[in-house]
Amino acid sequence: MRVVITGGATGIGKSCVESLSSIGMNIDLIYFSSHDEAIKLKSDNVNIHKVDVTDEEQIKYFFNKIDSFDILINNAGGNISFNSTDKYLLKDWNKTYELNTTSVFLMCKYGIPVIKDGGKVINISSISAKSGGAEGGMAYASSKAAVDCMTKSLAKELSSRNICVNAVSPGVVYTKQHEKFSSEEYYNSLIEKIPLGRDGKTSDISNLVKFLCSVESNYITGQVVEINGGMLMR
Amino acid sequence: MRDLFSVKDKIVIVTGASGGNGSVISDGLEECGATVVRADLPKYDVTDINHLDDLVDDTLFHNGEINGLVNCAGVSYVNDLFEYTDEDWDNTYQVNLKAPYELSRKVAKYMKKKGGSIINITSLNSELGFPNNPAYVSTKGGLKQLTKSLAVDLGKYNIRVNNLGPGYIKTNMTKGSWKNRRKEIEDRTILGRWGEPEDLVGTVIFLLSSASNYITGQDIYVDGGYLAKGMK
Repeated sequence: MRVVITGGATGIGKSCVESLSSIGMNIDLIYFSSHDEAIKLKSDNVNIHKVDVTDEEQIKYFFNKIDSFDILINNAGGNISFNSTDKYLLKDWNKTYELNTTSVFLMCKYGIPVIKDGGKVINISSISAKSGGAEGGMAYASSKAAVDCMTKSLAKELSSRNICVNAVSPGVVYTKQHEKFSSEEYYNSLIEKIPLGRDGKTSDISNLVKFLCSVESNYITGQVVEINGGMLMR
Repeated sequence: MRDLFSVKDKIVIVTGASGGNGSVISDGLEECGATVVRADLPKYDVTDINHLDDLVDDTLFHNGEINGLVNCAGVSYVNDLFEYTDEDWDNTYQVNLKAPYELSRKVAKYMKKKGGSIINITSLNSELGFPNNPAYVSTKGGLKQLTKSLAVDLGKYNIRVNNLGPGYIKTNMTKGSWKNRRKEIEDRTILGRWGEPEDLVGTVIFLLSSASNYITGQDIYVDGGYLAKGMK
């Protein structure tokens, strides 16, 4: 099995790469800014590629080199900035959408023609898609809500090729995003809202991704599976 | 890594274990090394509180602990709204909603120490309305919410509670739809086919195993995309 994953060098993506490569899958790890981390993950069955997932030409070039593959994991994403709407820069808004939403579209636009029938597409969304996100995080939250919707649209479109398309929607997981934007106090206040009483580990998320990669989930498509310790249930 | 998705040596109660889905789920769990306590009529009537006590007692007596519960027992009586009988309404409520509530509470008492996983088998009826079955639609909607209430109350004991919502699965319960609306349902399902009970097994294993340790209070629909499809 050959897996293409974006944002594979750090955080949830890294955990997916480690978990899937450990069971013998061949991984094409796409990264952009995290070169040092990507190098460390390189191995016999993990190839690394520096691709800007917001750049159509780079994605086109990448998929031109791929004959076929089985699983596409659209994981790359992030928050550009937090601010109230009246102060939010259009430039940051557009960048957020390019990174979280347009990237998924472009990876699908060029990846779907070469993905095998019976393959899987897994989009990494966010709890904020349903909750509205943190204050000042409208761009991020709404760009992820679009990913939830794209998941359903794609599920319909690709059903004739028996390709299942699902999203994984994590709650609070300590990754670079929180490192950058969340104070300790704020982060702890988030954890207090979680029935299981803890934040998610990246491995919690990659376990779910692994399940959705397996044949055991072959009748699941068009779903957004929430994984958040009970922080949001709906 | 393999242990992550393992149910080996887990003690799991499955209600409705003689039914189409329950029996295949039980077989699947056993194949993967779980000890399954198959709860079904006549020995265990889930509408009888004494039987539920017996079920828990028997399970603990033979196995020492309970790690998982799959509330799979369900009934459905189709009838015109104005002809719908009190008896059918009450029985549906007892089996589909009251029994999972009672049994989950009883079982959770013994899961407190080590944590555990409870799965409620919901339905497309938890989300959508269907004709001529007010009791089924509303009890399955209620079950979906019961799960959230239990997830909140039991989270501190590391007991996770989730819903597995099957789509149209070929079983005895859906034989009417299979006979009369087979094609229509196929067309309405993104993957273009009815589900088999086997399609549910992987998700049950996943939700019982430690691979899903951070998932609670959620709905996972194994429906071939029936819900996601929206309009025809």
